Amino acid sequence: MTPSIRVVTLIVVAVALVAVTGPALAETPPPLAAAVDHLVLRHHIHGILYADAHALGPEAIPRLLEILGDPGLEPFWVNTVVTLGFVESSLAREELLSFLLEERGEVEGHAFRALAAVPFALGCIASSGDREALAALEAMVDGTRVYPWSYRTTDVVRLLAQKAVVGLAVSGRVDAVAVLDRLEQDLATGDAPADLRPHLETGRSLLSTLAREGRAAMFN
Amino acid sequence: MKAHVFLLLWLAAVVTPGLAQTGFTVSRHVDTAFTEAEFDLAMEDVNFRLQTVNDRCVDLACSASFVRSGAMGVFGTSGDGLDFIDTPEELSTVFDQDNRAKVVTAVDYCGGIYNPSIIGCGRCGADGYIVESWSSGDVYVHEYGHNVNVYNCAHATWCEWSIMDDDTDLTNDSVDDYECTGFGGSPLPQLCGSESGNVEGKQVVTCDVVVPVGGQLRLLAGSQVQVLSGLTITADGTFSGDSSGIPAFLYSAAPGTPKLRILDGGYLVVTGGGQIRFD
Repeated sequence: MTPSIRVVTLIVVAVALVAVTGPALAETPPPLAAAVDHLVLRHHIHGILYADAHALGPEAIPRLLEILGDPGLEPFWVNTVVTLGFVESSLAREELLSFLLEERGEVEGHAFRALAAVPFALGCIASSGDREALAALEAMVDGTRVYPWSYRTTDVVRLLAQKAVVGLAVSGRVDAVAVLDRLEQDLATGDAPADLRPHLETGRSLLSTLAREGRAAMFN
Repeated sequence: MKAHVFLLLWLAAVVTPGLAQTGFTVSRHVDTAFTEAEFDLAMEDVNFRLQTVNDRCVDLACSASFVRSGAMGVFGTSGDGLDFIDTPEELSTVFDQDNRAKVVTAVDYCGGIYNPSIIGCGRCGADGYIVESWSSGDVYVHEYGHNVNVYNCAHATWCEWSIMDDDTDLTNDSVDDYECTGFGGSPLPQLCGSESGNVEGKQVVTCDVVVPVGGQLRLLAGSQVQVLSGLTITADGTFSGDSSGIPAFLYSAAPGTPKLRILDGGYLVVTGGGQIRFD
């Protein structure tokens, strides 16, 4: 994402935070910014903890977006995207979608992993009832959009379609399950690409975990 | 001259059992950019961290050492998606590939959980672990720790820099006795030196290696002596003797007998009529 666009979107998010949660939350408060850094700027061998990330709350979003805009912190972008998802606030949705569309050219491995995590994060955001996040995931499953970035030999459109299937599942929403049911029918009739089947099955398995053990059990 | 030869033989005799070396067979996915040199560098880094004492937690010098065993293999076919693990089937397929360490581009799924920030996944009590290609040596050894059931396949909670902690800044370096023995090593007892107080905020233990005027302390290629915390001379380092002491951390796998610790099968030569003296 270009610096100017990043600044504009940061301002938009800040304004939205002011409107939604009050003037004190326009920036991440310093103690919370430190907590964000402590969580995100380390590598979590078996994944960032849902409970820790969710506990940060929407007030952490400005600092998370700062990290996502800092190329020097690229190794931590995937943590940032996952944390933006785990916060489960619609305020991060547009920024994540912009991130997907504004990277350009051949990206480096850390950026690639972060970009590929966006559908997962959108699914987490959709769990709060964000219909636009769900709609974005449905569009990704259709696999018609072209992205302006690439990574080695990866078919980015197919990869994001697969990830979006899992994103729909982790949302846990009834309307997302309906989309997955339709996808299953399309797979049965050959009207959907077969590469989505293992991801649909993975999504179903995660939904079972959600129903049985709750959200955190899907992720940690 | 006799003394010189004796020193060489004596060192060769005691150095050999010093390190407990474990070989990792390695494969990478065909679509994952990763080289043997990167793997070897990661092992060299973690070996140093294991074998030396850090000042971040209570730590011990451990004789565990890891190297690549054989040439790196390649698995998968281009475009098969196995370089980006995000389903149980892909995880299982990659685990079933030859060789213990499998290096891929990304791991999003491990052991029933889905989380794109995962960077490694190891079987509990069984061979096989998977790491992302940019990972550091401590992540490889962490996953190996799961293979050999260190902490019963759980994580260390005693120190955030522990190899078996679930977080890393890619320089995790602390091990306790349980981790060290689990990795196949044993604690290297310290043979000389004592706590010499706080130097630039770090607690250090020092011994003095004195190289007299006219003598030279020469480390041959492949050998390694920790001279100061964080500083290692790994190949052909030469000190010209000036009678000044060189602070050194000295450990040996043979308790009770003062010996220099030379790593990686190297040996140490004192030339020019020099000597090494322990004060």
